[in-house]
Amino acid sequence: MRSHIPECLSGRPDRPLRRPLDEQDVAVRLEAAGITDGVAQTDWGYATTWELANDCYHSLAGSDEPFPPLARRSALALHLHGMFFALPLVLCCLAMILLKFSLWGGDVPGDVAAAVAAGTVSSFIVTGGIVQAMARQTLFYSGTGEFRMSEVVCWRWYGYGAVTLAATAMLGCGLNSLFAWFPHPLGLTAAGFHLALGLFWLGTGGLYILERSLWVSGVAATGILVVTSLHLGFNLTLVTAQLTGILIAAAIASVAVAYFLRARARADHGRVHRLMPLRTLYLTAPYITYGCLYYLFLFTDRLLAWTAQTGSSALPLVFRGDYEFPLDLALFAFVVQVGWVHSSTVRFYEHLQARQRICDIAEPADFNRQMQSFYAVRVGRFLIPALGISIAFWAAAWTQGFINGAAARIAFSGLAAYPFLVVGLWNVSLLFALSLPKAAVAAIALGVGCDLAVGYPLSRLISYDWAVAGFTCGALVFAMFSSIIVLLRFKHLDYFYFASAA
Amino acid sequence: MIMNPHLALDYTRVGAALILLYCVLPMCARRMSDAPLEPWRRDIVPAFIRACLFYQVTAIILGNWRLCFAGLFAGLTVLWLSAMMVFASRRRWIWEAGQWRIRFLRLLQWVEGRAWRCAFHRLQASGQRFEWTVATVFTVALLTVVFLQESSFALHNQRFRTSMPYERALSLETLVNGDDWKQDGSVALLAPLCQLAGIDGVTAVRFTAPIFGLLVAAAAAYCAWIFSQRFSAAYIAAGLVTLYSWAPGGQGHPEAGSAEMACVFWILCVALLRRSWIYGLAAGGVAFLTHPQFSEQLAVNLAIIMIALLISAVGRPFPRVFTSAARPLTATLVLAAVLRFSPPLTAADGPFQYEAAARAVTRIKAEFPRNRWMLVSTGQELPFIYGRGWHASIADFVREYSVEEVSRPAFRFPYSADDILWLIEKEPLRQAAKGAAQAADEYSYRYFTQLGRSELEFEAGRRMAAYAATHEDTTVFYEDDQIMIYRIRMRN
Repeated sequence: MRSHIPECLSGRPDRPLRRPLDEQDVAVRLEAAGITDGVAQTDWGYATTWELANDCYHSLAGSDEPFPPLARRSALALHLHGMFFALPLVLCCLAMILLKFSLWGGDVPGDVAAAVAAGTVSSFIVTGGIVQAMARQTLFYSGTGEFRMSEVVCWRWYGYGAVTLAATAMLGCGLNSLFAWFPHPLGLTAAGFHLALGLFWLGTGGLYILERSLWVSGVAATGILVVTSLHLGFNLTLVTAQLTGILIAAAIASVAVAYFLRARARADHGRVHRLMPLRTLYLTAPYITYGCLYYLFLFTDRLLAWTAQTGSSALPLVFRGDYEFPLDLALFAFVVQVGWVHSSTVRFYEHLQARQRICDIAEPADFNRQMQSFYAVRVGRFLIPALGISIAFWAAAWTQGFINGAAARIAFSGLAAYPFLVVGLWNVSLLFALSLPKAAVAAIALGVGCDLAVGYPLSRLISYDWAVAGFTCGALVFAMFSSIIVLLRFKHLDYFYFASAA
Repeated sequence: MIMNPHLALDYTRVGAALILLYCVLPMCARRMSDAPLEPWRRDIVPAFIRACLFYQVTAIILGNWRLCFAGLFAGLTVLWLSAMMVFASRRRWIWEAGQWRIRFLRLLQWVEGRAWRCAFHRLQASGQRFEWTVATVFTVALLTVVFLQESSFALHNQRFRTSMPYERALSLETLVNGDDWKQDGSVALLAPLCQLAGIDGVTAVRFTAPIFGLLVAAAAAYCAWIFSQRFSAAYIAAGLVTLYSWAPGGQGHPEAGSAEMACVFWILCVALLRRSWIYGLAAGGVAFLTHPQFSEQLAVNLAIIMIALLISAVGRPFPRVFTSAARPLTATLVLAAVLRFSPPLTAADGPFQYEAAARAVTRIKAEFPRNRWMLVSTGQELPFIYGRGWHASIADFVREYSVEEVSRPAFRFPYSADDILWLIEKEPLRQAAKGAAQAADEYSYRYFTQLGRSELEFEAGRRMAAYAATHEDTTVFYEDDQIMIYRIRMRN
C-alpha cells in the first residue's frame, strides 16, 4: 500500500507542478494518470479516486508551496526576437540594393520578370497552407513529447507539399498551353520558380517550426552567395543561377531539418502510429485554408495591378516595378512592426498565468474581463506608435526623393495597411492558440474578399496602382473582424483556454 | 483537303467548354443542394437555359460598361454558381458551420470509401437502362451525319464563307477585350467561351455555328416530346428539321447566325412554357436578346414540329405500320437528302478571304509574341488577330505612302512594333461586283469590287517591292500563287 502523493501530483525539475485549482482538478489529473477507483483502492487504500483527490488536495494546499516567479524578458529583446523572423527578407532586400539581384527577382527583361513573379506568387500560395498544417501537427506532437511522431509528421507534410507543388506545376503548364498566358520558355521558367521556391519554403518552414530562425537566414544567405558566384563568376544567366541557388538553399534547409528532427527524436522511444491521410486533411483543413488565403491576401493587390490594363502589352501579366518598389520600401516598416506579434504573444501568456494566480476560480468573469482589457490596451498601445512609424517611414522616403507621385500614394497605402495586418496576425496567433482556426479563416477570407471588391474595380476603372487601396481596406477588415472575434471569445476565455488544452 | 488537327482540337475544346459551362456546372451546382430534385435528364434543358440567360445578361451588362474581363466574368460566374447552390437548398446552409463540416466529411468519406466508383457504375447502369430502338438508332445516326456535315467546312477551312461570322468574331473580340462594343446578344452568349475557356473569337464563332445547327434539331425533338410525351414525335421532328436545314433555300449553312441561334431558344421557350413558366420566360428572354425579330426559319421550324406531332398522333393507332415503315423510310429519305445537299469540303477560295491568308494569319498569331507585331492587310484578317497583334488597313497604307517615299533607303515606317507583316494578294480575290457603279462607298469599292481590289493590291505590291529593293530588313514570310506576306524586322 502506497502512502506518498501520486507522481502526477509532484513536480519535476524540468516541469514544475501547476498548482491544483480545487479537488475536481486533482481528480481529473489522477484519472488522466490512470488512477481509477480500483487503483486508488488497491494501491492507496481509498474507496474511490475522489477520496484520494480530496486528501491530496488538502495536503498540497496545506503545504502552501509558493508559486515560482515568472521569468520576464525585456520588451525590446522580445521585439527583436520577433523581428529576427523577417531577417531573411531583409537579407534579400539588401542583396537587391547592393547587387541588383537577389535569391529571386532582379534586373531581368520584363517578360522574364513576369514569369518569375507568377512562379513566386504561386509557390507562396500553394505551400502557405501546407506549411501551416505541417507546423500545427509537428508542434502538437513536439508539445506532447512524441518527437519520433513529430519527425514522421513533418516529413509526411514535406512529401505532401512536394507532390502538391509538382501537381500544381503540371496543372499550370497544362493551363498555360490552353490559355497561352506565357510563350515558350517563359511558362517553364514560371514552373521552375514555382517548384524551386516551393521546396525552399517547405525547407525553411521546417526550420521555423524547429525555431531555427538563424539557420533560415544562413540558408538564404548561402543561396544568395551561390546565385552571385554563378551569375557573376561563371557568367550563368540570372534565371539559371537563381534556380540553382534556390534549389541548393532548399536542399540545405531540408538536410538541416532532417538533422534537427533526427537529433530530437533520438531520445524518444515512443511508437509511431499510423496516420490516416484524409482524416488528417479534415483536421488540418482550416490551417491549410488559412495559409493559402493569407498568401493570397498578401499578393491579391499585386496580381490585380499586374493584370490591369494589359490589353496592349506583350503578356497578360506585366510585372510592374513601379508598383513593387514602394511596397518593398514599405516592407522595411513591416519588419519593424511585425516583431510586436511575438512579443505580444509572449506577454499574453505571461499575463494569463499571472491573472490565473490572482483571480478567484469561482469568478471567471473577472479573469476574462481583465484579459479583454489587456488585449484592448495592448492593441491600442501598438497601433498608435506603429502608425507613427509608418508615417515616419513614408515622410523619410518622400523627403529623400525615393518616392513621388503614384509611388508615394502606393507606399502610403501600404504603410497604412501594415499595422492593421500585424494586428490581424496577432489575432490569428491567439485564435490558433485557442484552437479556433475557423475564425481565423473567416477573418482572412473577408480580407481577401474586401481586397478583391475594392482593388479590382479601382485598378480597372482608374489606374493599376489603385489596387493597393484594396490591400489597405482588406487589412483593415482583417484586423477589425479578427479583433471582434478575439474580444468575443475572450468573454469566455477561461472555457476556450481550458478547451484548447484538451 | 486533309482535316487540320489543330482545328479538330479546337473543335473538341469548344464542345467540351460548351458542355461544361452551359450544362455540367449549372446542373452540378443545383444538384449539390439538399432540395429534392427531379432526375438529372430532365434538368439538362433548364440548366442550359439558366446558364445561357446568366452568361448573356452578364456579358451584355459588362460589355456595355467595357468591363467584360476574364477575372470579373470568372468571379461573377463563381458567385452565380455558389448562389444557385445555396438558394436551391431548403436550408441556407451557407450560414451553418456544422453543415459545411458535415459536407466536407461526406466528401472525404466519398473519396476514402471509393464511392466514386459506384457513381461511375450508376452512370453506366443508367446508360444501359436506355432502350435502343430502331428509330433511336436511325435518329442518332441521322443527327451524327448532319453534325459531321455541318462541321465539315469548319474542320477543313479557317476562313468563313459569309460576311456575318467575320462581323460576329470581331464583335466578340471587341467585347472580351473591353473595347467599345455594339450590343449583340448572340455574341454575348459566346463570351464565356473566350473568357473562361481561353478560346479566341474566330474559333468560338466557327465551331459554335454547327453546334447550334444541331441544337435546332435537338430543340425541335425536345419540344415535340414535351407536347406529346412520345419519342416518335421527337424523332420525326428532328428528322424533318434536319431535312429542312439542308433543303435548297432552307436555314442550313455551316455558319449559322443570330437568327438560327435564337431559333433554338424560341423553340425551347414554347416547350418549356408547358413545363415551367419561369424557364419558358427565361428561354424567351434569351431568344429575344439574341435575335428579337420573328424569322422565317422559326416559322418553318414551328410548323415542322406541329407536323411531327400530327404524324405521330395519326400513326398512333397503327403502331406496327408506323414502326415498320414510316421511321426507316423517313430516316432513309433524310439521310439521302443530307448526302445530296451536303456542301463540298473544299469550296473555291473566297469570297472574302483566301484560305491561305486565313491560315497564314493564324500561324502568325501563334508564332509571334503578343502585341509585338503588326499586320497590314484587308479588314477580314482583323478578327483573327484582334487582341494578339496590331492591325492597319492596307488601303490606308496605299493612301499614306507613295512608291518614291518608301523606296528611299532612309525611309522607316513609323510603327513601334518589332515586326511588320504585309499581306498582299498577288492575284486579287475574285469579287462579284465589278466596278465603282456597284459600290456604295469608297470602302466597298476598295475591298468588294474587282476593279477597286485589284487596284489596291497592285499599288500595295508596288510599294512593298520598292521598299524591299532598298531595305535589307525585309524578307518574304509566306508566298504562294495567290498571296505574299512580307516581313519587316523593325528591331533586330
